[in-house]
Amino acid sequence: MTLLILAAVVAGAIGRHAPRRERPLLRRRGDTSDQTTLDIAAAIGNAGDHARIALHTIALQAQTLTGAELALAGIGGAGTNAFDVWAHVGMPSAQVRQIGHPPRRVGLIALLSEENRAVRVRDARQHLGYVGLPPHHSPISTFLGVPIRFRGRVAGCLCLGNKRDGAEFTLQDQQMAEMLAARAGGALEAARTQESRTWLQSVLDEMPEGVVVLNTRGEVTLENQPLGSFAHDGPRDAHDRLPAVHLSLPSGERLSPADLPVARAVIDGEVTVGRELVARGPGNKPVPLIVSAAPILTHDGSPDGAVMVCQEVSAVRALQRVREEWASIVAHELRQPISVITVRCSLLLRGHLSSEQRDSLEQIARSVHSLGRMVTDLMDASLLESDRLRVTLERIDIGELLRDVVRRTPLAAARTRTIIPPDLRLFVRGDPQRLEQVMSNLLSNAVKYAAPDTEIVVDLDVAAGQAHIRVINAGDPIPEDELPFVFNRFARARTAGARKVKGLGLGLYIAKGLVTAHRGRIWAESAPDTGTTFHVALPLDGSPLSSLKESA
Amino acid sequence: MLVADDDPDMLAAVSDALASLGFDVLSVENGAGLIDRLAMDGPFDLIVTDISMPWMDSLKTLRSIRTAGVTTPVVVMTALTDEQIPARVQALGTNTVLLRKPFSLDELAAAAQRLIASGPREAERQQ
Repeated sequence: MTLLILAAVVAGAIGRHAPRRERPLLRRRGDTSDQTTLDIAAAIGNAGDHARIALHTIALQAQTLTGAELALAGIGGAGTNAFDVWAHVGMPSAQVRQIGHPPRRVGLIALLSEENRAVRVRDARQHLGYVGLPPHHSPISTFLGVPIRFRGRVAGCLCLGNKRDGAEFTLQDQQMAEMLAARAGGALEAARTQESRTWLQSVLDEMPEGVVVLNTRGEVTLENQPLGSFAHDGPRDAHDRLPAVHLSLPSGERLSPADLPVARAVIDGEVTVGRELVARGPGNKPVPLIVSAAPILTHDGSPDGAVMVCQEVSAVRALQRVREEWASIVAHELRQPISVITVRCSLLLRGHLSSEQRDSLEQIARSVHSLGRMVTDLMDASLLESDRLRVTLERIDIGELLRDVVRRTPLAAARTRTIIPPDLRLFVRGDPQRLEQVMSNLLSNAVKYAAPDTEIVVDLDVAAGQAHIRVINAGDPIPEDELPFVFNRFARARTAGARKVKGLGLGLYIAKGLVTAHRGRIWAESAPDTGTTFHVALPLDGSPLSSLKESA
Repeated sequence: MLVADDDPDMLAAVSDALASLGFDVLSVENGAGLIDRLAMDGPFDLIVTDISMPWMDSLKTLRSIRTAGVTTPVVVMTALTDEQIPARVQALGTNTVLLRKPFSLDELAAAAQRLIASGPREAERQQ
């Protein structure tokens, strides 16, 4: 009997071809945790720079799956020291550089490390364990942090901040984060025994999502196996350093290599979160994907390539389609009565009325007009979110469009100074209605936030080969820590001081989406002495025309 | 002119609005009515119609009547946000205008007057 068991054990041992690794179960009792600390350090040392890439991939995936604005994955370092290796996603590289030091294991991070458990809070700032953030760090409200474990001990953490749309992190988000943290932990274990590049490749291969890593020159340095299920079959020669995926918009329009989210991340440091795109798999079969990409930063904040994660989403997409259909039915049904009220109001207003009746009717007309605007904004936001918003481009005299919008925006015309050099004519390729929408949005915003009796300035110039529009108002500045968020959906709801301003807070989100659809850029600056400036830069269609040159 | 909308309140509002602008208005509640009236009481100076209606959506109805050689100008009203709609309306010819709901009386009046001013009613009579 004993012999039989022994034989079985021996057979088992012989059957194992792989070199025997240290198995935690066989560790001697009294094996101190210091050994584990050393092992963690050894694993991190072995993985080298590749550990940072792995953490970037995991942070990006966590950010996408939980809908967080900020994600941080960090490992190593003891006590309240900084992490040995870490990766930020969601903060621009300039901001990371400004912060200037690695994230430290203090506050809520210390709490989750010491207690070896997830921490999920509605408002980090209200939590007893909160100790503040370094200067220049974006503010954090909702927070979710989970430990990254190595043999049961905390080796690091995966932290998420500010779930989108002001929502709270859910239990599902927590489970998702724990799953990703477990991946990171497993990867660490493997890092002790493998050469670092092989290690990174095997870590990425084990992820269910397709992953592409580019270097700073935009060349592919790594692609994982799952990417193969939607990579094109086209031939790739040694010079072909482009990702093996062809991505298209849901409308079918193919993205050029330079427009791939991962390329944008390399070129502009742009972060893409959860964009819906379609890949062409083997046999040209369309594969719907959720794609995220982010620049990889070195620890001092300088760019070091980029990573893109592609997740297949047939089921998610079907669900989303139902939701969109629902949104469009709701919008349609709401617009019907709004139309009846609008037409009836204007009919009544043409009749003979007492001034009291006229005032009431005009109020009804104004209210129903803003109700209509809100329905349209919600529809536009839903189109943007699902990447279905289309622009039809034509050649537009942008100066003329600006003058027109200023003239027609209620309450703006009288107090706005439009500065357009009289001899300057700039043409852009754009959708006139959509660009008008952007400008009238920025202008009504300026009217809303400008201090009483101050001037609003709209100016147009050429900068860096683009049409550069500025809309400037003098009013209470936007606090620095809120500036990065003004283009988020429902951003206004979060700004307590601005509650008195009506509206859904979708205007700037839509403006940004529309400007991006025109391949342009929109950003904001705010300071106490100069007020708030919104900038829009749009690519020119042809070179600027000066009427002087024209007549010459 | 001929007005079609399956929502009776909207149909009444638009008909009253057009009547207040001085037009003679006939109203129908679906695409079938639209074709009936065109056949029996046409030609009209203008058709004003909603897109989504029972029996046959008006874009299909309009395509059929355009194929049949009726070139009456049309104002197409819609509360839909489908991105294909502008192209489909454009395909019905230059004498077709898309009006997104909700629209003001002024927008409706402007569209109607512009189309009638350039309207090919005479051309249709000769066919």
